[in-house]
Amino acid sequence: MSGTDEPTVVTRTFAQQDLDDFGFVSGGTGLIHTDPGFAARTEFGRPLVQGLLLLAVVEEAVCRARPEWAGAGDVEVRYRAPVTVGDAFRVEILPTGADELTIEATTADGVVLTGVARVAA
Amino acid sequence: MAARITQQFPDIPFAELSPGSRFHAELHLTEELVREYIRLAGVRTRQPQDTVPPSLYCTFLPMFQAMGGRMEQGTLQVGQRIRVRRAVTVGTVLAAEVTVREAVEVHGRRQVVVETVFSDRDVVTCVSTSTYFWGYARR
Repeated sequence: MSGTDEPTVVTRTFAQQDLDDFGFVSGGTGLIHTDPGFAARTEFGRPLVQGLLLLAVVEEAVCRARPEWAGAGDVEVRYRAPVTVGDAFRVEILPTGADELTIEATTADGVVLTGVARVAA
Repeated sequence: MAARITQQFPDIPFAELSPGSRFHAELHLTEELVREYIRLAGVRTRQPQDTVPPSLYCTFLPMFQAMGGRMEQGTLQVGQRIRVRRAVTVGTVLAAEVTVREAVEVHGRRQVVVETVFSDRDVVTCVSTSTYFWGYARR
């Protein structure tokens, strides 16, 4: 545990190559992530970062705040708005209890992800 | 026009999803896979020889392999819950049991909930629950 109530912040900006590479690792090669032409024909206009790649960044932030989470913990997130290639994705983790952390992630457009993580007692 | 990246799995149409149906697959957590994941996720809190981040194996691959297909193109992920029960080390071969928990159309959105239970030699290591809007972005 960090020992303070200070937030833990992790920021990432993803390029198209990151989405392509993560697609190969995770199976998330869907056209909405890896095909800018397909994405341009949707309401989003640009490829969306895979939700699981965003979650990986969230998980890393949770582990920086509470390393023991990786061995036994829960995390639950809602994806509120899309994150596209080139967006700066900023995750903030704030302790809200002995074993609970709140999660909020933003881009320049506002809140894109919210959630909570808990370390098993 | 051909896709930039070949799609390994065919789409599973929403109409073919049956709540309660179960599928099985295995996922080998190789060091190569873990190294690449750590690079992509910007992980600093562990090394490839350490335990494996849960979000590495709670991915699409076991689901697609188990179900023999992928989400319809344009699917959006709207929620994810991961319940870690036990740390997993590099080299483990996890068993994945995939269950379609929900497949409903509400207000024109086809919401699908899929639960995957991961086990290492019959001991549950993690339960992953994902919520999707199936085929949303091309409807």
